Amino acid sequence: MKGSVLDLQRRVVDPYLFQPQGPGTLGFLRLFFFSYLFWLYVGVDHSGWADLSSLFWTTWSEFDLLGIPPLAKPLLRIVDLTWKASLVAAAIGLWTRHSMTVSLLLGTYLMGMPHNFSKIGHYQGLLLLAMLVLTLSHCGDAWSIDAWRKRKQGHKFEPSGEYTWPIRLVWLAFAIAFFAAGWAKLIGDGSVFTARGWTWDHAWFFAKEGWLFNDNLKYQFMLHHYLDDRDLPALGLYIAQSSGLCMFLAVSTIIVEMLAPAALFSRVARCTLIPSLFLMQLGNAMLLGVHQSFPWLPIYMFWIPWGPWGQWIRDANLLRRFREVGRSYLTAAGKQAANNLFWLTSLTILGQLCALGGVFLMTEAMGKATFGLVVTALFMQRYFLRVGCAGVKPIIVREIAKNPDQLDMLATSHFVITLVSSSLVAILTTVVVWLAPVTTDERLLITLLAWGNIAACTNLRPLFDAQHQQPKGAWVTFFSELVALGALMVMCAYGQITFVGVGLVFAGKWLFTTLGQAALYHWTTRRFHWNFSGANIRFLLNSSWPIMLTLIVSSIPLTFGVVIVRYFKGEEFAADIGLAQQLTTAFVTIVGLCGRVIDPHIAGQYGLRKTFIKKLAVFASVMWLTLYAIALGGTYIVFTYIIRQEFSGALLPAALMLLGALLVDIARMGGSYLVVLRRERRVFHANLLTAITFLATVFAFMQIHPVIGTSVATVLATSVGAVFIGLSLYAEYRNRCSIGTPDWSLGESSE
Amino acid sequence: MAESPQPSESKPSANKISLSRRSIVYSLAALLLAGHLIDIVFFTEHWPFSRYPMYSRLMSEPKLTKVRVYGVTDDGEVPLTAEPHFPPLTMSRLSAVVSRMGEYRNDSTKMSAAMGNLATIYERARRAGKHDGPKLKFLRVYAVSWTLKPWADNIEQPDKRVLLVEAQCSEG
Repeated sequence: MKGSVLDLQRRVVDPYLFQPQGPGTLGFLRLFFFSYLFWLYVGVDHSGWADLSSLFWTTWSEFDLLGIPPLAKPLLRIVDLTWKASLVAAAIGLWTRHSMTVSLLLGTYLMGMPHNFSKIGHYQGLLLLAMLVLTLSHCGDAWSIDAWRKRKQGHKFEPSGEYTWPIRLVWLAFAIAFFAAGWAKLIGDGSVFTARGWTWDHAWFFAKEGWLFNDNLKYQFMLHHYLDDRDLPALGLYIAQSSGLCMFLAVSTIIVEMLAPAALFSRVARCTLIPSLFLMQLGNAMLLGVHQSFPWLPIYMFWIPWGPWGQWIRDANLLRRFREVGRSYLTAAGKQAANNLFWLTSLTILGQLCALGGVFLMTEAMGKATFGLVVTALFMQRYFLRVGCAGVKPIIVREIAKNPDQLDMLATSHFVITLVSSSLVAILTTVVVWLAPVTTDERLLITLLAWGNIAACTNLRPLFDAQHQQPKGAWVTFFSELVALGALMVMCAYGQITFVGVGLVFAGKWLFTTLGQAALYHWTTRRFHWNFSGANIRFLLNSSWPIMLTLIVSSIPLTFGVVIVRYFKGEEFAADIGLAQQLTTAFVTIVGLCGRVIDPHIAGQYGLRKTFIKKLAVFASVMWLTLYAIALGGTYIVFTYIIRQEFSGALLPAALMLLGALLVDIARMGGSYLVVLRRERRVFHANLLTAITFLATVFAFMQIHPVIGTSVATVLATSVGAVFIGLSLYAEYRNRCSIGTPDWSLGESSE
Repeated sequence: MAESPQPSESKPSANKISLSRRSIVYSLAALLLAGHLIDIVFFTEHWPFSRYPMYSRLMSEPKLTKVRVYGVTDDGEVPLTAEPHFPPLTMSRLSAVVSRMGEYRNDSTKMSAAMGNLATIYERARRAGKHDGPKLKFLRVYAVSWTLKPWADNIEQPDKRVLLVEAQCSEG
C-alpha cells in the first residue's frame, strides 16, 4: 500500500506539481497579483478600525484566540503604510522575498482585522492564501528588479518545477473555495443531516425546498435592490421575473461551482468551468453589486496559460510583423486618411459626448414620461433628415471623387436639392402635426425640429468629405454641440427646460453648424460659385432616390422602435428605448466616421484591389471589435454612475442595440462596395429586408417585453441585413470572376 | 504553462527540487486542503479558510428585514450609510455591528457606549470632510421590513419600521 502511494506521488503528483517551466509566467503573476492588491487597498485607511469600540469586537475571532491585540490608531497607520509600501515592492520585485514576507505578515493582520467586527467576509481569505503561496515560491525570478540585477551579474534562470507548483496550489485553493460555495448552497447549514441521516425525504427536500428549485434566487435578485449602498441596473429585476431562468441560473451555479475541482486536472474543464465562474462572478458584480472591484481577478489570472502565449508571440515574431503591417499603411493616402480619421474621430467623439451630456441632462431634469416624448420627437427628426437630404449626400461624395472639375455645379445642386426637399418636409410636418391629436407643447417641439431640420439637411459635410477635409466640418459641429450643451445646462440650472426650449436649442444648433461650415468652406477651402444645372439635379436625383429610400428604410431598426413603443406602449417605455437608441446613435456616429474617411478610398482607383480589401478587412475587424468593447464598457459606466436608476431598464436594450448597430455598420461597409459597383438597388433591397424583418418581429417581441423585445427585434433584423449584403457581394464577386473583369480581387496593386 | 509536454519517466523533472523543498510544498498543499475541508465538514469558519456560505441561506418568502441607522436633525430623520458616514465600515458590516448591539439590550451602559461610539465616528468623519451629512441630534437604529416587489418600487415605503434603539449625540 505504501509503495503504491509513493508510486502515485512519483508518477502523478510530482509531475503535476513540479512540471518544469520558465520563471516568466510566475513572475508576471506576482507582478499582477501585488499590483492589483495595491490598487484594491490603496484608498482604504485601515487605521479607522482603531476608532471602533471594543464592544463590537467578536470574542470568537482568531485574533482574540491568539491574543493578537487591536493596535492603537497611530501604530495602525504606520502598519498600514508599511504594508502598502511592501505591496509595491513585491509587485516590482524589489527585495522580493523580504517584501512579500512583510506584506504577508502585515496583510494577515490588516486584511483579517475587519473580520473581528461581527462578521466574517469571504474574499480576502483566498487572496491571503495566494499571497502565502507566492511568498514561499521563487516568483521573484522574472519580471522583477531582483531578477534584472541577477541577470546583469550573469545569472541564468533555468526552467524548473519551482515555477509551477505555486500556480497549481493557487488553483487548488481556488477550486476548493468554489466547491465549498457550491456545497454550502446545496446543503445549507447542514441541519438536514442532523436528524436521521440520509433518506429519500432529504432528496425531496433538496428538490422542493432547497437552493435549486424554488424562488430563492429570484428573491436574491430582488433583495439587492433594497440595499441602500448600491445602485443596480434593472436587469436583475428582469431576470427575477422569470422563474425558469432563475432556476436555470441556480442549477448552473451549483453545477459549475461543485465541478470546479475538475479544472485542476482537465484542460476541457479549465476551458469551460473557469470562464463560467468568471462570468458568474461578473454577473454578481453587475447585477447584485457584490464585490464590484472584482478582488479575485488576480486569482483568475493564474488560470490563463501565459507561457504558451508568450512563446507564441516570440515564435511568431509578432512585434516585427505588427511593425511591418503598420509600415504598409504609411502610404501618402494612408497618412492623410489617418490624420483625417484622428481629428474627425476626436472631434466627433467630443461632439457626441456633448450631445449625450444634453440627453443625460434631460433625463435628470425631466420626468421619465416627458423625456419619452422629447426623445420620440428627436428620433422623428431623423426621418425628416433622411427625406430632407433626399439621399443626395453620398452621391455628391461619389461624383466629386469621380469628377472634381464639376465641383461647383455639384455643390449648387446639393444645396438646391436639400433646401427644396427639407422645406417641403417642414411644411408638410407642420400641417400634419397641427392636425394630429397631440398636446400643444409636443406640437411646438416637432414643428421647431422640422424647421430646424432645413439647416441640418443643407449642411456641407459631403463637400468636406469629398475633398478629404473632414476635420474642418467636425470642428464646427463640435462647437455647435458644445454651445447647445451649455444652453441646456443654463436651462436646467434655472429650471426652465421646456419642450419649446429644447426645440429652439436643437434648431439653433443645426443652423449654427450649417452657417459655420458654409463660412469655413467658403473662406478656407474653396469659394462658392453658383452653377445651376437642371440636368445635373435630375441626374443626381435619379441616383439618390434609392439611397434616400435606403437610408430611411435602413434607419428603421435602430431608430423607429422608439416611435412604435411611444404610440403602442406609452412614454415611459419610450424613454427607456429612446435612451438606449440615443447611446446607439452615438456609437453609430463614431463608427460611421471611419466609413466617411474610408468611403472615398473605396470609391477611388484602388478600392477594388485585393491588397486594399485585405487591409480594409483587417482594419475594420479591429476597429469594430475595439469600438464595441469600449461602447459596452462606456454604457455600463453610464448606467451605473450617471443615469438615474429610473432609467436602468435601458441597460440591456442598449447593449443589444449596440450589437445591432455594429451589424448595421458591417452591412454599411459592404453596401459602400455595392454603391461603387453601381448596385445601389441591392443595398436598398438589403435595407428593405432588414426593415421588414424588424417591423414583422417587433410587434410580436414587444408583447413579451416592450423594451427588450424591441432590441431583440433590432438585432435579428440587422443580422438578416448583414447576411444579405454579404451574399450580394459574394454573388457579385462570382459574377465578375466568371466574366474575367480585371478588377475586384483580380488585380495586385502596388499603391 | 500548464500543457507543456510531460516529462519523461526516466528523467523526472521534479528530481531537481530537494526533498525538503518538496516537503514544504506538500505541507502547504495539505494545509490548504485540510483548512478548507475542516470548515466544510464541521460548518465552521476559520479565516482565512472558509466554507464560503455566502448566499446559501434560503429565502423561502419575499420578505426582507434590515437593520438601518438614521440620524435625527431639526428637520427630521436622514438615513445613514456605512460609506461615507461610518468609515471604515461597509454596509454589510455596519448592519452586523448594529445587530450585534442586541446583545446589550439589557445593559444600558454598554448600549449607550456602543451608540456613542458610532455617533463619534460619524461626527469625526463629518468634521474631516469625508461626508457632507448634517450635524446630528440623535442616532436611531430601526429594523426595517419590506415585502419584496418585482420592480422594487416600494423601497421608500417599507412595510414596517421598528425603533430598536435611540441615543443622543454629544454636543462636542
